[in-house]
Amino acid sequence: MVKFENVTKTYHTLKVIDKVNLTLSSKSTHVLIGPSGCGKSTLIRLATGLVDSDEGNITLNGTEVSAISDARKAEMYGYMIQDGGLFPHLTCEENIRLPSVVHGQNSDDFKKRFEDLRQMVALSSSLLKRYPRQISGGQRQRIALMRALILDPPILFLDEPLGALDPLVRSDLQTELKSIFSRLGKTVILVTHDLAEAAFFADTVTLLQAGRVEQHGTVDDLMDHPKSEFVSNYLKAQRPPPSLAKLTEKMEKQP
Amino acid sequence: MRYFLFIVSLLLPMTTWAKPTITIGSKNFSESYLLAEILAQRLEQTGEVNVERRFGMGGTGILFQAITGGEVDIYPEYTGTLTHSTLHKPNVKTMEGLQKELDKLSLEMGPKFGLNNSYGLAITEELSKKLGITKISDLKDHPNLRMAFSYEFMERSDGYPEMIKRYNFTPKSPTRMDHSLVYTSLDQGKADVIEVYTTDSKIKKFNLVVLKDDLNFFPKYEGLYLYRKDLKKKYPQIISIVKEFEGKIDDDEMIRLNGLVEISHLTFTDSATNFFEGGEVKATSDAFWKTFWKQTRRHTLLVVIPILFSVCFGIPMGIVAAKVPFLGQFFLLLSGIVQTIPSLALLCFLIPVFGIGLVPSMIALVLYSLLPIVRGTHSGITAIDAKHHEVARVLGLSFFQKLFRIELPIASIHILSGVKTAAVMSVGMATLAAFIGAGGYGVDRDRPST
Repeated sequence: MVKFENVTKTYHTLKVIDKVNLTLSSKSTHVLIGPSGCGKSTLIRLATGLVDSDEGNITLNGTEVSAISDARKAEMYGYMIQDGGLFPHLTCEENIRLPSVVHGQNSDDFKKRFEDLRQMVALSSSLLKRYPRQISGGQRQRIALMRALILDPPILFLDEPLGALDPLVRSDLQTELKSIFSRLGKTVILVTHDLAEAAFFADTVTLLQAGRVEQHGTVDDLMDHPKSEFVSNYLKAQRPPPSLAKLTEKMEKQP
Repeated sequence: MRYFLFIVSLLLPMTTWAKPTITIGSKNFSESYLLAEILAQRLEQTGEVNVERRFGMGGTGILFQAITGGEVDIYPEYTGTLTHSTLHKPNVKTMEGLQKELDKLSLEMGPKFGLNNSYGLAITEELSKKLGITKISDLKDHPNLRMAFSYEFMERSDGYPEMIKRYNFTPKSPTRMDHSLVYTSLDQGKADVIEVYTTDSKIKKFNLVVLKDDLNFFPKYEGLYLYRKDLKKKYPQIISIVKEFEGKIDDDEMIRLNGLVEISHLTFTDSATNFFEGGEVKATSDAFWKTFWKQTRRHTLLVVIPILFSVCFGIPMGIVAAKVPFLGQFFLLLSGIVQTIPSLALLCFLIPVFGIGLVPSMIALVLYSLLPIVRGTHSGITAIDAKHHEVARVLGLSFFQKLFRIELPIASIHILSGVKTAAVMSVGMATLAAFIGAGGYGVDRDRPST
């Protein structure tokens, strides 16, 4: 469970997070959504402890974030960013092994875990010997996911994980990620600006606006009972054009 | 028996150790090398001393500082240089007067070699015979002769302006050019009278006659060995040895020896040997390669050791600079300032502290190599993408794990290019080390005697 209580963060004079109260339940997928600059990425960075809050409390499964030392972070959560954040001078395998080495994971445990994850993300062993620049963007994200999960943390933070991928790869990876999330049973917190992606993944959606939580609930809640004009405007703006809507309908009818 | 051999083997190096070591210096032109090498060979012939050669040092100032400081025991010098350049007593005319001045510095002069490497005026032998000109006064009768002099000679107080006053003649206005070109100018028939250094090998090469300075206008630059008084305590025989050279190397002999080096391209060693053996000049074929390898080893040492040190200091400094921005500015400024000091000046600054030779040269090279390495490390680390710092943090890397596993490897391209720049600079800079007697490729430069 990830819990935000009265969390406020100010950069200079700009309030980027304003008294956020939010409880995200365990073992389900939560999506933070909102327009650019609404504070959704900041919220995730506050939860990881990369940024300290000015006021309020954040707890990860009951532990206060500020009390988690850097050395223990990787055991508490996995963190994945837009282009994967792989280290360019290490091979894919070395990138995945790094947290394991730093945390003194038993090498048998590592091998087993590594192999499980490799099959899960469906990458060949030979590809893992390459350097990040030698593989595609989608493959890099899979490697980054393996690295985030190698220590088997209960929580997974993903900051626009598919943002830099082309639509085809993106759609494939969405399907794949969704099945991985449901198989792993982790608490997943994902940031995106794409409503369709949010609807695809989310058990709950949190729509943020100017550092405040505008509405929190299921996608259906938001659609059927928008709490404010902003919510309905935001949903409308992201509705696909009629021609595309027709296409979606057609595809869904097919077996 | 075995024990005996063991003890002998222990004592053997002691015999060389027990011999006094005499350090001989020289300036960086052929004649000075030759006179120093001749003395070195003579001392080695005695078998009583070890000789250390500190040849090719950068000018009179540095060498004089070295002998007063005790880094050099003895070197060939000229009387005129002592009175005019080092002691600044141009009015001291006698040897006794000069020695009195040197007494204050605990230095002593050996007897004169018999050579006078001064300015002189020269014309071709052909012209001399045709017009009957043998002395400078004779030029008065031939005001139409074309003259070519160096810029320096035209300006010096012991040069052209005072000369024509003393000899009381007004020739056609001379052509001014670089000293090295006056010979060519005469050879091509564009000048009749030129200024020469009186022991220059080109006098022989171009078959010139040096006109007699019949009014004794030019100051004397008579060659002799200058040594520290305490050398007499270390090796008393030095007095009789320098005495052996009294009158033994006159202008003609010096011109011949200079010619061996500058015209026949023999090594200084072979040319000096010829002074003792005379006769047909023998070139020992391996002499060049021997010197070459010796200087190569020296030069490599001069580059490699300082680079190792500046890597050891520079990379940590770069790391600190990248981690502590305030110190970063300070380090970059400091190494930047060192870089702006002209290299020769830096070497001279270091002499009073570290003396001459290898150590100050290496220190100077370390200081010069610092900037590119510090800067490379600093920019390599600060250029690392912020996201890599964050990922390293959430993966739980400690400060040193992050430094050694992430930052230094990613920054290595910048760091290595800094080291490369430093190495390339050092190879060039190391040639200057010869100026303060550290050896290396800077030593054997074939320069006309000045």
